[in-house]
Amino acid sequence: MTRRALGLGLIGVLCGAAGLSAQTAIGTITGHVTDSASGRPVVAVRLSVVGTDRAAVTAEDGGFVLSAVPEGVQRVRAGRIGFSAREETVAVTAGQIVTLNFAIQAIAVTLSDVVVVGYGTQRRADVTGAVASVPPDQLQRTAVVSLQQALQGSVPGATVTQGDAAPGGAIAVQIRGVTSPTGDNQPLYVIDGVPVGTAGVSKFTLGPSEPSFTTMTTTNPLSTLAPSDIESIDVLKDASATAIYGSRGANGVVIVTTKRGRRSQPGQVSFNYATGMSQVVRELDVLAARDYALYVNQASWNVYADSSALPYNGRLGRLTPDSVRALYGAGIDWQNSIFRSAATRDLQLAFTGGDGDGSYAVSGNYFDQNGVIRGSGFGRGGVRANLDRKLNGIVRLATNLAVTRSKDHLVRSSGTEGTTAAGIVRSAIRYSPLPSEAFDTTRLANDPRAENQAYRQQFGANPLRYTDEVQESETVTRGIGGVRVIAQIGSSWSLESSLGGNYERKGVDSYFPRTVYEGNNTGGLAIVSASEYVNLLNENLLRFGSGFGSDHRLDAVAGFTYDWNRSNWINNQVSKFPDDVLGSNRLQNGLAWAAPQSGVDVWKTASWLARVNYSFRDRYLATGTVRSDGSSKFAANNKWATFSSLGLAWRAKQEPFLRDVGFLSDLKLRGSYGQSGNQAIGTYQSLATVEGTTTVIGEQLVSAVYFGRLANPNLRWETTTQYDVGLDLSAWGERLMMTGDVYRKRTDGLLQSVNLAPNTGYPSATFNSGEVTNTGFELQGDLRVLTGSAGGPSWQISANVARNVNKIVSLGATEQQFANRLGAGGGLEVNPFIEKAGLPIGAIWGYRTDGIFRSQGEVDAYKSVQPDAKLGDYRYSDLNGDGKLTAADETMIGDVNPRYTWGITNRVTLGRFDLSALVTGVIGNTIVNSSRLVYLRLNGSGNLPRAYVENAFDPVTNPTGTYPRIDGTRQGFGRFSDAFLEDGSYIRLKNVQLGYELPSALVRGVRSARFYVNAINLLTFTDYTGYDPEVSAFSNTDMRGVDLGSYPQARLFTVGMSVTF
Amino acid sequence: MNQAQRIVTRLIGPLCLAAGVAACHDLVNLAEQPQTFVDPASYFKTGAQAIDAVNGIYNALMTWDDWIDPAWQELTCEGPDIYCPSWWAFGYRGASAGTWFAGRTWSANYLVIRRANDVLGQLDKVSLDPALEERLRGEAHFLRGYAYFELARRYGAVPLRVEPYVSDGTYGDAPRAPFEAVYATIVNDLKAAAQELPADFASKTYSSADRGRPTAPSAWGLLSKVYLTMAGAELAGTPLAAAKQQYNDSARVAAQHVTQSGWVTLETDYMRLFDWQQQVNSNEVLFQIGATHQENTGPELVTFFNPPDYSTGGGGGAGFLSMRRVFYETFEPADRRIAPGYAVFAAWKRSGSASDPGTPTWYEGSVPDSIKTQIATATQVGWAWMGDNACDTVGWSRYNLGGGRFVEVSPQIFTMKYVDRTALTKSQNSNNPIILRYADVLLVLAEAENEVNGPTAAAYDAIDQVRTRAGLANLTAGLTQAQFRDAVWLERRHELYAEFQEWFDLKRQGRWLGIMNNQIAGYPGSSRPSASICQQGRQPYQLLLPIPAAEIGANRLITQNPGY
Repeated sequence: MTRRALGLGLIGVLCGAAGLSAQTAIGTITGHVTDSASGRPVVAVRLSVVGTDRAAVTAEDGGFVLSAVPEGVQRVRAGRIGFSAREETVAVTAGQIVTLNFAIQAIAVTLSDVVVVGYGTQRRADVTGAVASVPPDQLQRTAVVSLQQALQGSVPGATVTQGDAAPGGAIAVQIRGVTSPTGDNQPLYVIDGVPVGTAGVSKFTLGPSEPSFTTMTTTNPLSTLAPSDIESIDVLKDASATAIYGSRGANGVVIVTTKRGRRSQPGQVSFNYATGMSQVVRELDVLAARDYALYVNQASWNVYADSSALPYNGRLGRLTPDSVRALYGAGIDWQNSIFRSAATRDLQLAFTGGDGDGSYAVSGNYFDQNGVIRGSGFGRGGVRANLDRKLNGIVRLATNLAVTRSKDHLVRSSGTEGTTAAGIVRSAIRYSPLPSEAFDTTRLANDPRAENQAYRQQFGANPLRYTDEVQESETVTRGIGGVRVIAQIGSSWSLESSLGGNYERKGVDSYFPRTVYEGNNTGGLAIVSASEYVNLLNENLLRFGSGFGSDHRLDAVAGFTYDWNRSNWINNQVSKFPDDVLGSNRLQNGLAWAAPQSGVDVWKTASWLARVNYSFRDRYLATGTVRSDGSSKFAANNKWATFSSLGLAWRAKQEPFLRDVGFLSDLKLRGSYGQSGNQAIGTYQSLATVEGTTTVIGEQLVSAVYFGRLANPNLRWETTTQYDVGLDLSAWGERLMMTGDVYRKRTDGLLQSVNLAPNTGYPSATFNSGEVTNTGFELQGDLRVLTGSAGGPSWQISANVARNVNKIVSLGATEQQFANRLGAGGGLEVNPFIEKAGLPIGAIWGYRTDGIFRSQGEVDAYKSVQPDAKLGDYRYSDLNGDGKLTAADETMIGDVNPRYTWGITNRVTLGRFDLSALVTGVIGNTIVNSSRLVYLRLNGSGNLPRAYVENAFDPVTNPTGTYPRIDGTRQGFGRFSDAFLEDGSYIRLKNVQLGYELPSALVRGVRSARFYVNAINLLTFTDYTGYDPEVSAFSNTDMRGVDLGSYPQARLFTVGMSVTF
Repeated sequence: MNQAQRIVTRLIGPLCLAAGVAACHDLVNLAEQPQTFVDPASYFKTGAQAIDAVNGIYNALMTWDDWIDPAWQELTCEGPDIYCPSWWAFGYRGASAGTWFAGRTWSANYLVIRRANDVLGQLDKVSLDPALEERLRGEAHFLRGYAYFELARRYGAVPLRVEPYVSDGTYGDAPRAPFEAVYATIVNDLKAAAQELPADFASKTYSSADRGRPTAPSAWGLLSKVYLTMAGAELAGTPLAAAKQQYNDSARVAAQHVTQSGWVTLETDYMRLFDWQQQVNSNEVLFQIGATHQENTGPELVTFFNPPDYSTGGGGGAGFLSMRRVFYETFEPADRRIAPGYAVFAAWKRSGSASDPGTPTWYEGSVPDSIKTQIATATQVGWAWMGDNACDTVGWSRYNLGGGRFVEVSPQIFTMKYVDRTALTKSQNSNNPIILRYADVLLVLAEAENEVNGPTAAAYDAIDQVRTRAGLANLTAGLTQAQFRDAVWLERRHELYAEFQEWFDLKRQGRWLGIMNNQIAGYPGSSRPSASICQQGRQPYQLLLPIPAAEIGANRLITQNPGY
């Protein structure tokens, strides 16, 4: 192809037109390569005409074109890793096109051989970067509910935490650690080439106190994607891989490809159905009625030592602990009241197929999951259409479109108000087991849940009111898709132009009736908020791929992308309704309202990108990437930044001296260096503002304005520089495959909302300031213990482990700052999270406890240091030895980052049975168990887990107890200490599935049918005393690892089948 | 972009990669056009905009860092007059660094200062109607002076910022200014305000719609308190201490500006001051923080100062803060400021429910009259001053209503100063926290006059005006200067109970530590149980609040107040 043609081609793609025809020199061979077993097309098969330099690689549909093939009988070789090579002969005539199809046979390998690397695919063998793929059967052999769950335990270096296990709840994924204390540090998700965007909707109440979450549950923006639609998941980790996503690649990229039909494939229908039940993994052992009464008495006795003052003393009509038992037995089991067995249903119907010129995959899905807490649940329905059509010999059209709607019924499982609105889970523990304390019997006739007013004042409404009477739902309508035009120009060049986008509409409707704290004083409280997010994306790509001689191969892609985003939101809060019947449906019935709030944000990104892959003799590989990104979010002179990377790989196995080493199937050494960026800040952060508000002058609201933000004309991109060295090894005919990586990431120019000194009058400003490093390694191995040859049993073990060390090198001019406090009330007014140079993001700061005071002598001896010391209280270490307890004695007492994350999957097939089991775990992370802020008070106020009472120190009855003495006067601790922290390590049998494949001849017309039973969260081993160690109430990075009484994990059993006709 | 440009862009776009990256960037417009706020450069053109910007300073006063809570909370329990549960405010340990609200008023007052500085900076650049501009400067100066006065009394010598803040590459490095420099700024601001502000609500550009804004007498009144503070114990040891008498005299003169204003006067009805509908129009209130029923524009006072009763205000009362018995007993019986049903709640109750009479239960709803009736026929089965953790005494009488029901009623004394029966939630209460009122100024005048000239007729006249309104006889004639001083100080406690003055007064008087540690014999109402398990007294370092961690963390030039 001439230089002129290249220029024309470039212009052509950007104009969306393609009018060039391929030049034919001698003869042309075209055809398709399919998998001999399944009949599906195989991509990335290298075809070469033996004895010439002519070569081509199959496209996504398995098609290839070998042009300029010399006339005569030629041998054509088709080869691809994971398939046995095949040769065919064909007669080539000058000026003619001959068709040659290959059916190649897969040889057993486990890792996907083709990886999607962003703006293209690559043979795994050619990849120079660190790219992990979720094994193709992982999705199918684990009944995952969402995309991120498929990453858990199967992608080394990905830390997956379901922070709040409510159905549809968000799942946090961190790839190679967090790079910034702000933002959520989630990877970029790209579905069929379209980055997924989302916009939040406010779940804050506007009053009646400081803003507080209506529910802590944030919904998962990817929960609208049905896992059954997913074909493959590839995770880009190092700079060589992520740089092509330049501006947004710093936290890794997760590329999702959905299923498409295959060309020339007879139409088929597949139907999947699964149903199951879930139950909470564990309930906490709390005090039953009599023990509770004894405990409350003890709290009084330890202070007043006056038997007549005991709350349960049998006098003046009061009960005694024994009569409590006689009257009520064990009392009310509140956990039993709020938890339930919950049903799940999942069904999908898909039609796929294709003719010679096109293919289709159309599917519909419906998913419905009740939560294990009454009143919660998630439902999703959606359709997807992925269509491909060849318009002529050159131009192909590919579309994909998915539309889903989901509705998440949320419950206030946890709350940031510690006492009267503490959330369902904590109140179920705290609420009195005594019916006479919990309920007002005189009012039960009218209201079966009428609380005793004293109890209500202290502990809020009983948890059943929150499960059954509070209404909150989040409805999400989402569309994602696009159309792509691909023009294949000759065998080497292709042009692509696409228009895609995201649309998301979210609505949150909440109603708090009079029967709960939030609605009680306000006469019912309705919060209705909505947001809309629109994203349009245009991409224009030019690709080139060709071999030069038998030694050189060059693949390149270059292009321009532009995306435009707009999000707007509105929030309404109305109260004082005539009654609670209509909930939030008729806001105009309410008499009082907070001023509605709304906002609009628009942002844009433009990018020029290019990548070149070069390989020499299939032995020396190089990938160079450059991307220049512009974002509207940055200051006028800093909008653009260029990110580049270089990856090198050496396939040592191809060297003559290793070629004959029989046991070694492949050996590749990789190294990469490069940069990627982050623009995860809000819009307009570089601009100073004049913002409108109101104020009160003379009992009247009047308008007011204030200067809202400092301009930052220097605001620029945050940049992550990453080094990675990796080794890929396979041996003994790929029975053993190993991948290891060592990396170091340095993020500087951290985009931070820096707390300014309050003397400036500005709380914070967005600066590029500070530096964070992540250093670690990842190791993944696959061992085929039994290969399953000749129909025998097979057994494969996949294991991975990763370690990441996160460190704040500098925060810029700030020495240290604290993240927000956990909440208000109930001891939650603490700021445990510090950001400080030398410590990781997620370091927990506080006092060290040094046991408890076990004698008055110990108290007296330490009183000068700790003036509030009391028998049976915690003793805090005076770390600097100055004889005083001051802030200088606080230190890092924990770290929410796990030291290791790991997973092991076993897959066994035996005849028609298959068994898969995933065990996963994390080691060495700390959890802030906020419930302990209350439990450890041990002051007789409210119920609590039994262990706290049993292990409470008592000078007489339990002199070795490790928890503080039961003391009715203890109101709190005043110092945040390691007493509230727990080790969050766990080992979990995350998923087990047993399947049975029906003999295909059993029913006419059925191509395949498989039945399975699946269990999720079957077993968990942990020392954590709360419901579950996989917990993180807040979605901000700087406040991970808090158990705020979050929605507990459930154990889910399902039975399912998948049938293909 | 027109069609031709677009075509050029598309054609040249790909080629510009070769020409150089910079050329490519110019093809895409990535400028931001904000839609939710205004560019400061295009603002501040008209008088109405300038008024809105001044209103923005007031907006910083009723916030969750300031007067909704905790501006009054941190002052509440630092004196012996109010009974506090041990967990409330700084509790029995007193101020300590790290308490969640410690330092919020630091941020709050600097926000007021910053907004005032911003406005003053803009006023320098624009030209407005001179009368309007002068008044707006007056408001900004008043609010800045007020904010620095709040800071100085709480935190001591603080950094001074009197210009609009411009980022200087640090995160806000600023050293403490000398204590006397802080007070000089306060005095200058309030003096300027006294000249610039309208004399009343009918002069310059003020109208009756501007009730709630400060006037010249407000500035003079606040200045009189500032001078009295400068003559007090807190500034002992600074260069200002030498001029003590001079400041007493300045306080006297400044207060006289208020008494001679011609329109500032005492309400005849004491409790009308606290009627949320009336107080804004009161000619006694010189400065108040505006509250309305809008969400988050009212202080949380109701919840804490009212008896457990849902009807007295949004959110209901919780009965946390009441008058200590020993203090209650220092009032003369005729004092209208403790008249039941007028200034303090006549009756409130808690009862045991019928099913479990052993457990006291807060009663829902307020039915004082019916309770009175019930109590009239009930048998009193006990009366006790009871304590929270045996630390202190409040109390109640216990009556047997029959049928296993009991009711517990006063004498726990709850003030009626913060009642808003129409509010829906606790942050919607429309009670304006009163910062300065004429009775306060009169007592400043009495005190300053006594210090300068002894207990003159003018001094007697000032205090007697306050006493007369309370339904009391004139102060005993012929007191010595010291006796008169004690009388004024006691009068301040009675007049300004629960109005956030007690801690500042005691510190100014140099008695706070002694009283809190029960070392001053004969202080009316100071007795505290000496061997209590929870009473820890106060330490000298607690004369000042801790500098917040946020300031320490970001400002490399600040030092913590010693002891924290």
